[in-house]
Amino acid sequence: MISFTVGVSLWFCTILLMTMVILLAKRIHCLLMQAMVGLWLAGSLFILPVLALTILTGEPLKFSLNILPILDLQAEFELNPVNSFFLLPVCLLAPFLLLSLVGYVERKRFIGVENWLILSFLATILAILVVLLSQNAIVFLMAWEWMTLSAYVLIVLSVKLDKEVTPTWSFLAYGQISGLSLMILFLTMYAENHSYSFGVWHKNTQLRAALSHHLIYLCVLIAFGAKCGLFPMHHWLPITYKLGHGICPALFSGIMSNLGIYGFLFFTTMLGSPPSWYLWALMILGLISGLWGIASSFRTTTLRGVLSFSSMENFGLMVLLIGLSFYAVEIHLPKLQIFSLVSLMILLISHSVSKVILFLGVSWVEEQTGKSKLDQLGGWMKKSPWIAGLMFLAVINLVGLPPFCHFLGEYLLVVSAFEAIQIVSGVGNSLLLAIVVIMVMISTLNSAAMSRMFGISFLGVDRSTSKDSTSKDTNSKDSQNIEESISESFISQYSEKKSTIWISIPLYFISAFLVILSLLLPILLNQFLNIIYYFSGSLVDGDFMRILGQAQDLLVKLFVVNILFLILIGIIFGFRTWVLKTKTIAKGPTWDCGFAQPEARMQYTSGSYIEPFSNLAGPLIGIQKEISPILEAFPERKPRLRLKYNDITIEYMLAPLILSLQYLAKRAKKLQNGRLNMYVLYIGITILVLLAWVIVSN
Amino acid sequence: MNRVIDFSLLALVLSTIWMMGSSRLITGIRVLIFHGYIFAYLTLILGEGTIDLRIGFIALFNWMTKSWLVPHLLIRAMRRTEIRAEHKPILSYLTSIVLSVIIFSFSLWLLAPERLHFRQRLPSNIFLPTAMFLILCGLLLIIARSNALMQVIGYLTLENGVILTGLVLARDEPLLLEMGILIDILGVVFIMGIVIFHIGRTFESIGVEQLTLLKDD
Amino acid sequence: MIISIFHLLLCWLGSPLLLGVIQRTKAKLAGRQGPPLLQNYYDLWKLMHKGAVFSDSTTILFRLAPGISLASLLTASLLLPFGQSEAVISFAGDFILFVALLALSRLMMIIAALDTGSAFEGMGASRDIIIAMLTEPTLMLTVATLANVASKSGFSPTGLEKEFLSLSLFHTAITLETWSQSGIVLLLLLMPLSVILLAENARMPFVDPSTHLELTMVHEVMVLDHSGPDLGLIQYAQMIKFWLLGSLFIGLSVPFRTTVPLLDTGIDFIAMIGLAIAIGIIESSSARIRWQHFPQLLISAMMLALMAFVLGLEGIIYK
Repeated sequence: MISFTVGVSLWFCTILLMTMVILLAKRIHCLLMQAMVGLWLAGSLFILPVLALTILTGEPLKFSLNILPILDLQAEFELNPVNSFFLLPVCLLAPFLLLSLVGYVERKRFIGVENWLILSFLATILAILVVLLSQNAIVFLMAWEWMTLSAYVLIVLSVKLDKEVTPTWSFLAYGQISGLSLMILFLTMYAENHSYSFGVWHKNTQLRAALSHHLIYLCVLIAFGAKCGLFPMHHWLPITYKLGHGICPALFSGIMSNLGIYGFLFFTTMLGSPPSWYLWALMILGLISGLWGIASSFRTTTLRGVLSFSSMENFGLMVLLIGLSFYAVEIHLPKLQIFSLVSLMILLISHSVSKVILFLGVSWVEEQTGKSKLDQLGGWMKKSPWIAGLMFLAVINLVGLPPFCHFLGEYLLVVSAFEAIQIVSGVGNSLLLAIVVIMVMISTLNSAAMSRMFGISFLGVDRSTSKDSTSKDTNSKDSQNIEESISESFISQYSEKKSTIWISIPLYFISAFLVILSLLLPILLNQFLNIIYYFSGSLVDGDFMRILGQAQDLLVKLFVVNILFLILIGIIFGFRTWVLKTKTIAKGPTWDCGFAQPEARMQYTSGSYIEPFSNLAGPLIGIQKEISPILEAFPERKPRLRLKYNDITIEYMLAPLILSLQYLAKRAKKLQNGRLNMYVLYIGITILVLLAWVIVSN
Repeated sequence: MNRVIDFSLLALVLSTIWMMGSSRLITGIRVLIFHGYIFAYLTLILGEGTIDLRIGFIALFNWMTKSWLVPHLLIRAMRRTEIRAEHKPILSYLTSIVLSVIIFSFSLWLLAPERLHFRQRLPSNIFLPTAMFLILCGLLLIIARSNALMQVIGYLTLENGVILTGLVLARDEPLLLEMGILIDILGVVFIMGIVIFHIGRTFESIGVEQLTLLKDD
Repeated sequence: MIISIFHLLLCWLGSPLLLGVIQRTKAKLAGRQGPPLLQNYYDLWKLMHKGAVFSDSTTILFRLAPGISLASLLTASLLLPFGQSEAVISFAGDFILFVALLALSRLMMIIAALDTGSAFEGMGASRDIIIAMLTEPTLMLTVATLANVASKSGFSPTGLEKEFLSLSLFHTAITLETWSQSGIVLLLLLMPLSVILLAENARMPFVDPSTHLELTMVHEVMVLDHSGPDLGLIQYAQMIKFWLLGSLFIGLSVPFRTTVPLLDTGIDFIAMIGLAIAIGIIESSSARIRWQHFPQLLISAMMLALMAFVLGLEGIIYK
């Protein structure tokens, strides 16, 4: 107990100390900076056992500080298994992010703002810690605002360094929406309970007025939905993730947006007895943002765009899982509840880890080339096989394929939904079927989106070489020429290669963590017992252990299959090397059906790769194809093909409120259009509605 | 017995979905012919073993109009207007297929046996849903196609749904009424065929958008 | 258990034969003699003895992809029930793993195709992914319907816990009795399943495997740059995939069970050969549909699976 307190306070002290040092030092010396990073790493390593111990023993650790003696505000903090779990990615990933941030600052040698950059990073992390630990509304709200503001400062400073893009207000605006609804929530709760302590609120769940009960849950939905980019509140996500250095989106996606998920879990448990509309909203909005997020990623042409929409998809799934776990309590399906909680934990940690890997890798690519569009890159796997290879692992994980841990999470969700289909009837049944089918759709869309991102930008031939060959008026003597130009560009890029150690060391560590987690998760599952137990207090202990045992059994069987899979891969590669040992292995250009050399321009682009899909679903997700028609036999004007991407949700959901009335009036006018078919449609709809009404009301 | 009825109803549904996804008029007509056979068959077996002269006559008459006379007229109209396929449907075929399956699920949900309270037990759980499906698909065809002949086919599908409802709910309807409906249909198709032929000859198209040109002003 | 391992070996060793049967049937119907039934084994043997050529633009992923693809399909075959017995490994929701392993194998081939930087292979990859997008939800819907049928049939096979839905449970639950109870639903399911079988294996109404026009191919065009043992691995993987989906189809459509395990194996194996012959006949008698019509057919199949599910819910099952 005492050691816990000492450990936590020591860690806080380290962070504060570092903050002070950074503030005092005018120009950071390289050595000093490294020392600080080392200190931070040591602090994190120190805190990790504390977290692990809390998770294992399940004993919450409470302590309180008298922050504002004048107001007599007793700030309560608690370290329980749940927030220890949410602290895990923070403590694991933040040090590595800091490491690469320091490396970045040092590479660029900015003068003036670097202290502030690192300071705002540390402030954000500190705010996240306070949010996770606090058990008092005022402290929570203050830390929440502080987190939003310091994250915003981080983006602004980082953007200022790049001097390419202007910062956007959308992140701040959505952050304020979130803070505002939290404020309404807290004031309502204060009016009910006359206390700001979460513990008191939890005790008085039954004494609430019906209206305020619905109001507070609406506030929870808006506040945390805005934080993790739930469907109608997701617009800030792709915009913000494009800004600043790659560390900013890594921080947001891997660490900060997790707080939205934490907020949903924590507040729904604490406020108690959630209304069913809230649970349905969580599930349906989660499903929609999963599907919409991943489908929208086809609209973007940048690396970060694809990743940001993938984040939206993953957070959507997590919100779905939260809704599902509470819904399972409502319909008395303990198995569904526990499985979805386990699945939620797996998805959360695997998403954090792989997003940090991907964003760090992307930031490295962007630094090397100064390009971020998919169609301008290409062939990066050859230039740095290790970094791209690690990113490939993260890609496979995010697509949700075995043998990685994301698959285990999705598997548990689908399998519990499948079994619940047999038990639940009515609307719940359709919902569960929709979950199963949409999960599969999301996973295939995901494999398309991720193979598009990785395949177009990291595989193939570097597209930047094709511009040179076209501008040189290609009389292209032979394929030799192009080959030379490729190797030239190769060398030129290699010669100005900068030190990658700041990127590669974090990447190696985090990827190693991903692999270890994927392999050992089935065995480790029982250690998470206390976290799940925290939410399922209503269950009988025997039931709880039995169901968790079932999940463990399934994961162990998957583990066996994974091991067999790896052994099979080993056998096949052993065989392949043995077969090829005595044979000649030749090298040549890509065959490509007789075209001597695949020129970079011939490769499939990000638009053409998903062309079949955009032909099919383009209007639904906002991809428009514009083709200038060829009218004469020998057209003078070159025919043009253009893909137009527009966000339907911005167009249709964020349209100004003032215009909506006008819009409605226009619509009403359109009813009278003089087309026979439409009139029959009206008749049909009327008859249908009347029939349904008559039969249902009887 | 149940299985046979269910199977025939399912055949009705599947063939209608096929019709929804096809652009060719002849497919629609063939599906209508197929419907005629199924209706005749259903009329016969719904008598539950007792095939008297009346039921036999109705079945025969059903078959004659639905599988022979009406398709014949339609094919003739198609030949004379020389329009064999729908070119620009208002709803794409894919959307029509998806919509028709949604309609089917909706009718199954709406007309589930526990929701309806009939005194007698229906011969099949999906009898009324299929009838409603046919009616709604007929409507959908009229809405979603611009070709006048296709709309006639949609109208006939709708009529089939009505007759299917009649088959099960009013099993003892008078012979005269039944024949009246069938002759009605025949007359409608006959007149429509002539009208469409003339419209097609005058305007070189039987798209219903162009029918607005017919107004007096 | 021994018979399960025997089935596994049958799958690993017998799958090239099925492709041979298809080729032979097509040749016979075209009035030719055709290659011997064991031709595919000779081909694999020959490919294993060749050297390899790798393109300059490829990376390590290109070399890894065929092996991983094959390994994931072989792992999937561990989950596959056949004949009377269940699979080597079966657990609740193993069909999810089955679908995921198929997806992994496909993704690896797509990655390898994009790695070459070739326009043709990019086209193949882009087509393959859209086919996957449209078939996988159908496969899941089919399995959901099967789960419904299996749990409503009131049949609990020995040795398998009924609350755990697995491929093996579906396989053993589909008997003549189940067919008579819910034959309409199962019959409806066979249609989407056959579409999946043909589309995923890139067979005829979807893709013409025998043509040498790259624009009409999907799978063949993705492997243009592989050579030697790698090509052999890929071809073998395709044969395994055909066996996997084919035996799912057979498991659903051939419900005859005797009490003798080996006899059941024989029946199912003969049914697999029959399936191969049927596909050969389909291939020689039908024309390839236009690429633009792919989605329509695949989505129709999805809709049929949805219909089957809804019908299974709404009590068209007779007790």
